[in-house]
Amino acid sequence: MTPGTVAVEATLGRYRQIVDAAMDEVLSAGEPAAYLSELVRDYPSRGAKGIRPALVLAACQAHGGTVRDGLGPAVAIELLHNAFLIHDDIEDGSSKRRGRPTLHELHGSPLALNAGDALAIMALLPLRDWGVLGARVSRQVLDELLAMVRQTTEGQALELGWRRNNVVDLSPSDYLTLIAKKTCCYTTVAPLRMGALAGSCGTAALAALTNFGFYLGLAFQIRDDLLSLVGRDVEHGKDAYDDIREGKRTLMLLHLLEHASPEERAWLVAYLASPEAEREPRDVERVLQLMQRHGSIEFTQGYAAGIELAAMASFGAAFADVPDSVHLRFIRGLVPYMLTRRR
Amino acid sequence: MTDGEDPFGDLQLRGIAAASEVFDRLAAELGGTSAAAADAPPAAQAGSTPTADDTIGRQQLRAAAARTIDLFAGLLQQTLESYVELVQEIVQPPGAGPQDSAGAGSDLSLVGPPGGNAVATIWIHNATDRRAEDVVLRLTDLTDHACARIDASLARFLPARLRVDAGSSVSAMLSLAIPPRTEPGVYLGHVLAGSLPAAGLPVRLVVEGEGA
Repeated sequence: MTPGTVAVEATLGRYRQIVDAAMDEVLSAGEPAAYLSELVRDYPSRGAKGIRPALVLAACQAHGGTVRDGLGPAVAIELLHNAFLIHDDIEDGSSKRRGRPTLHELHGSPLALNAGDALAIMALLPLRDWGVLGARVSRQVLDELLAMVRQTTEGQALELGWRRNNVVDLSPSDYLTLIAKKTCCYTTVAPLRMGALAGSCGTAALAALTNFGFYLGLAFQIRDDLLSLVGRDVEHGKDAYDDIREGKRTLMLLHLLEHASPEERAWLVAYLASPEAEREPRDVERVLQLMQRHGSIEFTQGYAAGIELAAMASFGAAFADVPDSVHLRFIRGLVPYMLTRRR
Repeated sequence: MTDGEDPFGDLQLRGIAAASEVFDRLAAELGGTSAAAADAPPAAQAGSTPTADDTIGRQQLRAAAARTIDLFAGLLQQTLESYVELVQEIVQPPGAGPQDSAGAGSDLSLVGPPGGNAVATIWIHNATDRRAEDVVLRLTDLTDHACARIDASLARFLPARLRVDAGSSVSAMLSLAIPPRTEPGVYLGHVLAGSLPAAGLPVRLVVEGEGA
């Protein structure tokens, strides 16, 4: 582990303690509800890295705000993230989340769905208090969250629709559009924008910040896709080769569809059209071998490398109007950390 | 990579170009919630080229000004809210009990013909910090300008007894049986709520004449 990684993890840990305590306060409010309270606490207690709330808090502090200014948005975004994960796991039929059985595996889909609904609504609670940021900035932050939810759900709908209709004629640009909506908005763009608005009292310049968050989010998601293939189960905390089994339209899959022989492509299209439950491990293995044979993984690594360079290049402009600080250095350190992480 | 070597290979360049196109579309959808001027690149905002310190200083100034304006706006809002609360307390003293469904301070209006029933909903609000147990509602006798009287015993409250938690409200239904030979006109009285330090709620009953 490099000194840079140690420093980033130490700061992430400090932010996580603060956010965990605030999340616990939100989730503990009111009387315990049977079949619900325990479920909504489950994913948030599974020890995530907390990159999203850390980005909110660091962007807020870098723009001159305090942890108190950014805590509401940070907690809101992390709770919403956990709500999305519960529903994602059901939609994808995933069996593991952060190394443990998914919520619907533990309690069944109806209760898990209900817990996801509750968590999504509870995520708005920290934004109700306008006493910290004032009405104007609170409204701006809420608008950001709502725009993020819209983009994220549009992206998720696109992905689910492609899989349901077995859409295979897709370009890398289509894939980037998908993850721009599905991942970038709520993993990097919205946390940075919400934090900057909270810290600058709504005056931060957002265009360059959005540009940086966009490239960082793209690179992060492509690395995540690659990890699903080259990372081991225990490191990634998800099922091995989940993305291939689910038929996710990743860059690797799109490259393979374009470069496979006609026979291979016909088999692959039939594989993607088959019900997920009927896909055999040997079929998954064959897709992986085809990706290796046709250089799909190397293609994706090269593509990702360019976008990572763009992310690093856009950092300076994104924070041109804020002074150097430990918070800014933390965000800068987060770039290589997010792009080389193991889980 | 050696000095002078292009850091971008063909694949990387394709990745950046594709991502750049997607970003332009996404940025248009997200927009900028801050002021348009603040979103413009720093160098485009003035004829001269500002230094990095100038840029940082201007941004800090903008944030400080916004903070100050929001602070004063917040103080003004709090002042107005306090004023509204004060006026409400003057109009409706703490502990005041019965209110009709039309809201605080208004009379409870009942209308009915001789021999019929007049019905209305009233709200009992407990503005104290203690729960009020066993609140019994009573209607005083109603009288008109000529001192004709409708007996209070003709009124029924449902439920007859109430429990009202601190700071909360409970509704009750008032039903008044108007005697058959009651003179048409306006009759006045009060609803009283026992065990709450209640102010009386004025009641106004209109007994309809023939052809009403």
